[in-house]
Amino acid sequence: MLFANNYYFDRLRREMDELFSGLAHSSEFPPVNLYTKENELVMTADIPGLEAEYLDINCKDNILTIRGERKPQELGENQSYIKCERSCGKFNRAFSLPKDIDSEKIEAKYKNGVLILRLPVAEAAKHKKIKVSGE
Amino acid sequence: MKHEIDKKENTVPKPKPKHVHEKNLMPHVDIIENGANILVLADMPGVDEKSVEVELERQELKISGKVTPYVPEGYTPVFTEYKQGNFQRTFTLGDSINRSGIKAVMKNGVLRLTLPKSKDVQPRKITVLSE
Repeated sequence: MLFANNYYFDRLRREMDELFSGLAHSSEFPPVNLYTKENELVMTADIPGLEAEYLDINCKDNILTIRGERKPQELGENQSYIKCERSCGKFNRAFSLPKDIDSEKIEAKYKNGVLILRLPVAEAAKHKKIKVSGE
Repeated sequence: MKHEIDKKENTVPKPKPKHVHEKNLMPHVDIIENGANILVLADMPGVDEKSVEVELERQELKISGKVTPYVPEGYTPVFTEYKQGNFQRTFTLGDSINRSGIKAVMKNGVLRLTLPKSKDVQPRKITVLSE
């Protein structure tokens, strides 16, 4: 798994975000963390307040998109906001995944407002240990 | 009431810089009010109903949530855009609350707190008698 050049990956990610983000609002929602271990990438995102079925995750041609909508609280009679810090609205983020990720085997789990994506490396691209025989 | 909340807010200790697992992050909140209730919505992703705590001491409301880091040991971060840590925030309420009517629900990382205002706060007409 080549992550020797984080800068390249970072730039690619930003360009993808700009391409897909469309209008105003942050192309940076939801914020994500990316972790790696041998033969697997794990991406986590903090997206509180959604129902799992309204979270739309797609992967095509190694481009992963995370899409959804945070609905605002409906105000009832005589209700008014004293403080409004939580963002709401549609979000759409795209990431360009390395070629060796097997998009068919991506797993997504959403629990307590946290999205966890497991992105495994395809079998063919895995590190294979080569046995050394002695004479 | 808005001024009272703003004045005494943010009694959370300042976070330590540059560390992936930072202590005591401040959750974003929405506070909605009408004549009878105060509704507090707090974003605390990673917190469930067992790890959240709501304390009301006189006029001070404290919300806290414990987060178990959700990535197992042995992984190296490639890039991190947000920090993980426990949540805590304190507010001073302008009105007195009817404690027995407080409702707290934790769902999908959002705490929904309904605080009914106590009856003495709601305007009541006083009859004047003549001697």
